[in-house]
Amino acid sequence: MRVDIWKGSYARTILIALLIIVLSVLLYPILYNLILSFQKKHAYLPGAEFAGVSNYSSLFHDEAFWKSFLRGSIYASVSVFFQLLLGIFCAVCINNSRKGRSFFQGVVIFPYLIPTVIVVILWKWLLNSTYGLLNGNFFGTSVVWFDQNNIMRILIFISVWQFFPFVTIFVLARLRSIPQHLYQSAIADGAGPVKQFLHVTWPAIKNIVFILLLIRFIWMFTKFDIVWLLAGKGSSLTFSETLPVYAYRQTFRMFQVGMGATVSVIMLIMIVVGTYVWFRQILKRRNIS
Amino acid sequence: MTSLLRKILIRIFFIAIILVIVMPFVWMIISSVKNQEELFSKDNLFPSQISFSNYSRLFADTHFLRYLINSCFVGFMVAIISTVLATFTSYAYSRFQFRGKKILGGLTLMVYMMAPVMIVIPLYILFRALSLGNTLTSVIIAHITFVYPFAFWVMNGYIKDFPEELEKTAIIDGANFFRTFYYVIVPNLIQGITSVAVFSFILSWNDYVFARILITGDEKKTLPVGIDDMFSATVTDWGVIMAAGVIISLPVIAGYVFVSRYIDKAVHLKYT
Repeated sequence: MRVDIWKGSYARTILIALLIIVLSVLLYPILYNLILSFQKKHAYLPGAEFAGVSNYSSLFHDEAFWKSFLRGSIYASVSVFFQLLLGIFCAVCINNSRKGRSFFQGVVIFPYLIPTVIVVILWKWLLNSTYGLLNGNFFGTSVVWFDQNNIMRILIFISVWQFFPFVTIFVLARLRSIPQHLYQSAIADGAGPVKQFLHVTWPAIKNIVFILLLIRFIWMFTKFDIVWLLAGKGSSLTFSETLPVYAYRQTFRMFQVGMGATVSVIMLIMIVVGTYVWFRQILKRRNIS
Repeated sequence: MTSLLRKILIRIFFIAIILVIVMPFVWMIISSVKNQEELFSKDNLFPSQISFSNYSRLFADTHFLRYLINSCFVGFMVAIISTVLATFTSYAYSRFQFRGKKILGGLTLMVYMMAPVMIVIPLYILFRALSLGNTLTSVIIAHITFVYPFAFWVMNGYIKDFPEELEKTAIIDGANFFRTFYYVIVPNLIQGITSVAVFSFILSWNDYVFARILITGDEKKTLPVGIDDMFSATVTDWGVIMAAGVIISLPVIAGYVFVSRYIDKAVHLKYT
């Protein structure tokens, strides 16, 4: 146990109170969500009645829920897989290059930085079936990328494009801390690039990759904006409806707030588990260093 | 031989990455300065002359300026409030020893993991009950609920890195908490505070979900929502939309370049 240097100062009391107040404000929506999931409530009208677990049971009997659950899982798994693959590969390459390293590192994060709305609009323009640079304009094709057949593919593609830089940045930060002499001795032992990666790089980045897998999966599974913006208004929405979009539709199209809240509670369970794992990792690292 | 091959492969990879990442942005800029005819022509990859008519139409014919002002206001308020709150509370969290500290940290992390769509419905009902429906205040408060936990954890990384000895010296010299905070802690953490503020601004600037659901009136829309509605209008005016895209992306990229010197540190400390 470390010594508390501010023991006895009344500023200490004020700040701890502030911490607790802020946290309570943050937790309010989460707890209210929990209550809402046991209520029947219209989205715009006042008043609510207790409904027991009826929201949960009608949710589990709704075929659309299971479909969106499955679709969301596939979307999250596939897009996270490619984010990790591309992200790690990109980080290793940037780490190995001497010239232009800071330039690449700066540029690679651009897709992650700009608003999702712009990402989606930009790709809709690039892939536009008549005027798109990557479609009619340059290749002379006229593939309709945003119809029901291709919507999931294009959704995964754009998600990978937008979020792989996140992986790159974090892996790169860890790669920096690998001492150079480990590579030198690996080379002296006659290890090629693949062996170097397996024996030196991978053990060092294993933990961060696991954490990235965890948080990126949760964030892709609960991602609303990119799916909604890409397919929300079109008829292709039913073919790309993931769980958060289902929750939105229940709340603001069917006006059943309780149902939307129930979906949120299910996603919350996942987040609680994920946070527990991540937080333990943070505590472990901070105690060592 | 193999090292030469490796160099070439890396070179090729970089060109590919640059193409995949930069090309869409370059195309956005090119599209925004083309005139209406060339925008839809297959023969003109580049504009024969640079025209800013899309930009002038953006400001003259749409409510873009209104959205821009709203977004700036919300972004600055969120950045200031979150950064100040995070600096104080994160300092308290890393320096004080008290019961329930671990749970407090864990819960803050959990809130950070929450997706906007999970928080927005209860907030929407709450704001309506407080007659804050369709106000920028409601958007600011909503943004703080996800920006603050982020700011808190990043600040925490910076503070952990900061030696306690300096504060101890100040205490021995008789300074009270707030004097120490103002004269010792803040100046030493200024890099961290700056990058947290910039990233808080970016997070608020980029948000779509909260603003979409909390705002119903056109005069209160922020940029992402305003652009989405302009885009979804019956006939999409691609030139104007591309010009808007360029203007929205600029502050984000400028802000990032400004703090990129410190970002390695933030990333490294925060997630490990």
